[in-house]
Amino acid sequence: MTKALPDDSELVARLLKKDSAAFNDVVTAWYSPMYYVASSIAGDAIADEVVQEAWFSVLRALPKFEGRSSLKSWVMRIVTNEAKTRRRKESRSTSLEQIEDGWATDPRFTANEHWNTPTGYWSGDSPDALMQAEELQNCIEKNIQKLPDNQRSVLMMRESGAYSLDDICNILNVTSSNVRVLLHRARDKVLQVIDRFEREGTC
Amino acid sequence: MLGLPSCKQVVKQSSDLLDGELTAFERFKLKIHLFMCKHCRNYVKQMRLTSETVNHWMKGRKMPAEVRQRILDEFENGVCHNAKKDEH
Repeated sequence: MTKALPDDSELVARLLKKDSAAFNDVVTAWYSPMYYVASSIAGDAIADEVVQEAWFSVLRALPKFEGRSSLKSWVMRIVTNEAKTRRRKESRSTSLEQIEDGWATDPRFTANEHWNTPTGYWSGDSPDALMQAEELQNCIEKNIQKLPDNQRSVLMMRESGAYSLDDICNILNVTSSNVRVLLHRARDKVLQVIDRFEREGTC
Repeated sequence: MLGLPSCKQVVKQSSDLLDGELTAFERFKLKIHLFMCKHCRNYVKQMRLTSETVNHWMKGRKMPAEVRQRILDEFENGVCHNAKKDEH
């Protein structure tokens, strides 16, 4: 686990004083959500580059940080913007607003909306317990990569714990109801992947 | 009847339940359904666990050493680099 960071005003003061140890801690602590958000928007190949460029922008803008949002949200917004710019440059054109619909024909439910095949019982009741199976980690990774980009962006932002649903709407320019639908679809998909693994032991 | 949600609707609302996005009345109706339906109770529990598991999985990613080095270099020498760039 990473160590707890000091509060924002303390942290900003240390960074402005060029405290390398404090900077290293922040860069480490926030790396994974930054990486996954970047990767969901701009693609895996350049995600690390996006994170790097985002930190360069953060360093340039830090003296002007006003504390209207948390430092973490502010940094995440910068990564997201950087990733969106790169996405345009790399001309990926999937719309974030796009929603595909497979909901009406969900085979888990009967025609009168009762469970047809309910979810099974899982071997663990904490992430640690579940993730002891290394195949499951790989399986989750593989299936998160396969999610539509828009679902993946929303899922990564939300589960990083750094964004409120409002933040996500604003950053991705998606309506609030679409964010909720995208998030639900993504979580439901990952849930089904875990469920299948727990029942059948296969990905 | 109160117009209780169906199992399928409970599933559809489960994410909103997790994020505190339901109205008090929606939440109340959903809770009554959960009280009576163990399949949906199980699903909602798994939805919460899935969300925590994705968070846990994300934290497992480690930063490549060269990326860290470039960012730290910029932190320590950034001003000089920028000055050099400006000259060109």
